[in-house]
Amino acid sequence: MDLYSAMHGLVNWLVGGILGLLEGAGLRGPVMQLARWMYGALEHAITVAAVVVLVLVIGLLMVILMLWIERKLIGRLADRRATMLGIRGIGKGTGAIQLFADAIKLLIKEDTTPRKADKYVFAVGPSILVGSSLLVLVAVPMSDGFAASDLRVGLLFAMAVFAFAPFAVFLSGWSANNKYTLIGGMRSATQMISCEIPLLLSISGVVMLAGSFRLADIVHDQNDMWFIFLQPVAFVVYFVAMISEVERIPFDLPEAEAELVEGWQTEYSGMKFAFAMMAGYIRGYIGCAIGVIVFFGGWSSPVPAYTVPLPWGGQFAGPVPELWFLVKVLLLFMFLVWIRAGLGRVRVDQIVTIGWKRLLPLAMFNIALTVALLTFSTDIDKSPVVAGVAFVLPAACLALAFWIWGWFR
Amino acid sequence: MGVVPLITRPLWATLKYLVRGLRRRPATVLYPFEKMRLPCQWRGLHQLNDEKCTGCGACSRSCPNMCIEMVQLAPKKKRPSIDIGRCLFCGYCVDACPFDAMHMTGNYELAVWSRDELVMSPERLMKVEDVREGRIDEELWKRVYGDEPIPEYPPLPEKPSKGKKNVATGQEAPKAAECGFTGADKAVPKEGDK
Repeated sequence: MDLYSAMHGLVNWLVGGILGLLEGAGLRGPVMQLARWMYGALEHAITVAAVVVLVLVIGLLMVILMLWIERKLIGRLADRRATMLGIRGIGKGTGAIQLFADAIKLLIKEDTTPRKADKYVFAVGPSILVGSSLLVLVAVPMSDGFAASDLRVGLLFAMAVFAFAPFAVFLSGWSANNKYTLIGGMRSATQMISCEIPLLLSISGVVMLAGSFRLADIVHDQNDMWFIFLQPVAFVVYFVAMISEVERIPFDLPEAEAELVEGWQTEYSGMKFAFAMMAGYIRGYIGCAIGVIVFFGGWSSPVPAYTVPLPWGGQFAGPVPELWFLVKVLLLFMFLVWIRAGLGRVRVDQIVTIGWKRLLPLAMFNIALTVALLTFSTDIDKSPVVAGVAFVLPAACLALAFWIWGWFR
Repeated sequence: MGVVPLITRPLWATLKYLVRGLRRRPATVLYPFEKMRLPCQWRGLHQLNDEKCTGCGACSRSCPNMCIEMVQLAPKKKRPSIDIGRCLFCGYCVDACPFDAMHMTGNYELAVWSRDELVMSPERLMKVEDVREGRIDEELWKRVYGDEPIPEYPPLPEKPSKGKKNVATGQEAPKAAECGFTGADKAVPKEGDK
């Protein structure tokens, strides 16, 4: 079932029920006619709004879950108990309440603006950031049916809007009229230019294999074998560039708290700071989600199909695909957290080197190899070449990748 | 390929902590409820022994921050009062005391509501107790969490101590609790010290 038809049915049931109740209560005449007419006119708009709100709420719940996972896991990786705040009976000692406490604290904090700041741009910056992040969220489906929009150019659209955030970061850094925010904003722009191109190039190999930009098509194309086994180099490039794009720890130069106070977020307080943080985690979710869709089979089940008879009749055919998708996303995010706990921050020149001298050649090489192999095997899905590709492609990719690595050192 | 160990080694180190934390408690304690065992060298709030003190003022003269002031408690009876807000907990006063009347205790919870309270009178210093053992504040836990049990972890496995060995004797250095230099049971100074 489609998400739209489901929500349409829900809205119809709700509004129709309300209108029926009003009529049953004796309300008749032109007022009811007007209400009926307005509902008919706005039916689809209301459905779309309901779908979008549902998708965004799920995204924000995922952000909360990811924040909690990050705090607990990073604590355990550093051999300490992480956040422990809980109410009696609700998650005592698990820190489940900490995030809500933080949100309330940020809500009631004073919202300050520096005196010489460009006030309007300063206020608009986080809004652009959150807005562009949520726009990508809407374009990322969670399963065949559960999608606000499964565009034919979904991957292209997601990556295009995903690359929009450093612009907002730079605006914020510039408008705050503070040297730390300005340096943070400029670092963000540098980082985006050096890592955005490898990010897109790494994905293009997968797009060539799948033959479509639609995310659902890419997922369906991985029923036999995940693309990470066919495109390991692309995954490495994507992963490194994605960490850089979402500005997480090995590449969190724009908000390097040891050098720049809090980077481009320095002057933000209260809800604007919360927006900036939230946008960071939404982008982390999107980066992991696209990584899962493109390389880890998306919402397809990792275990072979099976059915278990249920005690109350019927057959249990495994969890819903949305659950598999979220589990995979969270596992990939845990890997990000692990990297954050272990690694230190790179320098500015190092990230530019990584972007231009390491990732870009790797991505280009991956594209060349993919094109060559695709040319020789006309129907990659059915021919026996697929087995050969599965072993030869990773091996050749790795060997040549190391060669290029040494070339540029 | 000098980069690969730079990436893999810290990842391996953190993973070890994660796996170890699954079967034993982490290195940290739940502070307001659970308090660490303090080493015997820990210098906290001072403790004054009224019977040993003669009011000579050696502590006051030795204080580098001049935070010790001799107070007249009774005719012919002076005792030191300490401004904890200025004290740097160097322990010079303890060293300077010829009669071993002053000690540093393990009391580190010194927050007060006003600056006046930071000036510790001699009477207050005499009542200070030296507690260095790790302990659990069950009363506070009950006030916050009620009857729920304190989260328990399996205790640390008993491992042979990894203390540094003395090069001359080949013996391991004593653990903090074994060295016995907590203020209460400090040995009486020898005659020659005076």
